[in-house]
Amino acid sequence: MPNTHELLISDITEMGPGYCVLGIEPAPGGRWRTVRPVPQGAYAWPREFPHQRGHYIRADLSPTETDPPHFEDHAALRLTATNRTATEEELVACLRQAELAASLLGLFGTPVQPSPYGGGAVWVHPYEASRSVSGCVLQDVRFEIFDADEEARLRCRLLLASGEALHSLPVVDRGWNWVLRRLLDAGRAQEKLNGPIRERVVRSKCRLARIGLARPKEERCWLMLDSLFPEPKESWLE
Amino acid sequence: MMEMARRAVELVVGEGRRPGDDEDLLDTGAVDSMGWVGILSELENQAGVSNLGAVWPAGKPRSIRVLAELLSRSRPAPQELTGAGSLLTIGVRGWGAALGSEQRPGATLDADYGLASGVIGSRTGIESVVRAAPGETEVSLAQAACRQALLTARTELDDVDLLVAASETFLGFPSLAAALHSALLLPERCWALDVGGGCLGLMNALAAARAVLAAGAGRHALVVAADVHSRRFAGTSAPWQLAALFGDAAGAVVLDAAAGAPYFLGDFRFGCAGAFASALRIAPAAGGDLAVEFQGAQLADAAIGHLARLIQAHPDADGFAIHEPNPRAVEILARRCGIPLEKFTQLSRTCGNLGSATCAVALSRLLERKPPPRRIVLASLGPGLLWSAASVGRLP
Repeated sequence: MPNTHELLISDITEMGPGYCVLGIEPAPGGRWRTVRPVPQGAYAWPREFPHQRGHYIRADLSPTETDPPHFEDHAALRLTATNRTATEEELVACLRQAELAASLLGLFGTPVQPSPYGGGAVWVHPYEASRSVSGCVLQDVRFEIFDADEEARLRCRLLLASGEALHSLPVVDRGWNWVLRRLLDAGRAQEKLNGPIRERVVRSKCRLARIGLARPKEERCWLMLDSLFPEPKESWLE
Repeated sequence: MMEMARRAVELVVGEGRRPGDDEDLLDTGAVDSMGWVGILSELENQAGVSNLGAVWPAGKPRSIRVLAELLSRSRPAPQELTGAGSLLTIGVRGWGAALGSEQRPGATLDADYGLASGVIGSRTGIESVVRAAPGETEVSLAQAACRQALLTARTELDDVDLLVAASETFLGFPSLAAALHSALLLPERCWALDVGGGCLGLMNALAAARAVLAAGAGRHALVVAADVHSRRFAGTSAPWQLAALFGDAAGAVVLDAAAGAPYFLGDFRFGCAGAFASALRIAPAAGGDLAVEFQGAQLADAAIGHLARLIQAHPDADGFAIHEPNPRAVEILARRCGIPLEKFTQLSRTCGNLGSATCAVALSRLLERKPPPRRIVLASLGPGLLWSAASVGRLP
């Protein structure tokens, strides 16, 4: 029988034709933990997903068989809106009490591995990772726009508080991809991303990255930037 | 770019046919594969780029428009970067410096090292020394200097091909260059190289960077020297002549292999006068101490003699960014060479001996003068006794 959970939506990421959604809920000891509501028969929710990050939703969740390291997966029958929302500051404060790491090793409890194809992307062994999402405090970020399959894709370099750098993280955050598309329309996208927009991120007290793991492929889970706080704002584009 | 691409296509296709901008030239039979190679070669020659279209973007037609897009993103071919192959064309495009943010007056230093009041000032001419504040490190100072240098150069971090770092105080691994590479979030393909040489480190770093760029291995090099002497000497038995007089700072320079930089980096002279090797020896000792062998008078005499010879080889110079053990040594050197003192930065008067960062910080100060000197001599010394000189000249 499904149980109703109240989740605070923390991450909405682009995943194929839909969105992967993560929420957090209170855990013992004043902490929070991540829950990934997964629709039946798919990993992603349709693009018409009506909820926003920072919204509280009610989710009817059932335990499900999870494939490592996506231990946060729960089968979800439906997600229902509530009237409650959290500000960005409140959401980030909760995320700082959820899964959080200061170093690369701490992200998933296992060392990251270099890409066998060259480039700066990294991955972890699915069976060695202890979770599939983790927050981390970042010191700096730089964005790069790539052409892939006739579509512009956003990647970033992150400097963690530990002094370690992640060199080529695909940005799957819905909000940041929305910004990318807006900037591409306006021109000089990379310049703006690494100029005034980066400046706002680096100077923000809400600075936090959520790093996620893609579903295993050929025994590898690639690291992705699920969320980057502060979220980009419409006013930043003016 | 569109016009250039159209011209190259027309040259190969012939006057009679004008392909559309979005037409796939191979699919429509406008050119065969050899003709296509001819178009690419023609464009490479015209635009001075290499490997144009070596990796064609997936799903894009082989059209004039896509050729123009690729051209606009291409970088100059390495062999074009150094002009006629002369090392003299390596330009100095940017400069920056960062000083430790705490200023320690001479009177305080006297007290810190148990000296009678005024000893440091009267014997060395040093009025104050800059020291790193808690939290400031070689990496953070170097980072600040690099950011300033890139800003002056109007060069993006993503365009840096090579980072060369020098320090006489940074210990541990990842090395300074590697740590700085991460701290700056330089692209992964950017080479991070460490060089040594004590106070001569910046000269080694500049020479290494210049050689790499001249070999066509990149366009922009970020060269930096950073020292935090105060922590290295803290709690050791090093004499006050070393421990009290060194300051903490970083200086950075952006070199550019392409034309258009306001200054060029001239030839280097290097050498090592082993006869003075024992004038200064520093080695790790038990309990975190330093074993120091320091013959102050011998070192000063050898240093001033070598520096004088090095800078007198540049009679046309009107600015001097040189190793500065202390202001007295600079005054003696200026008198011996007959050069007005104001042509030196006299950094050491208010900052102390900045070690490997000295020449870069001094160069920054000189290039910020209004008007800046036309030709600046860089000259430095390191334990060994290593010596080196180079010049930076304004391009017409």
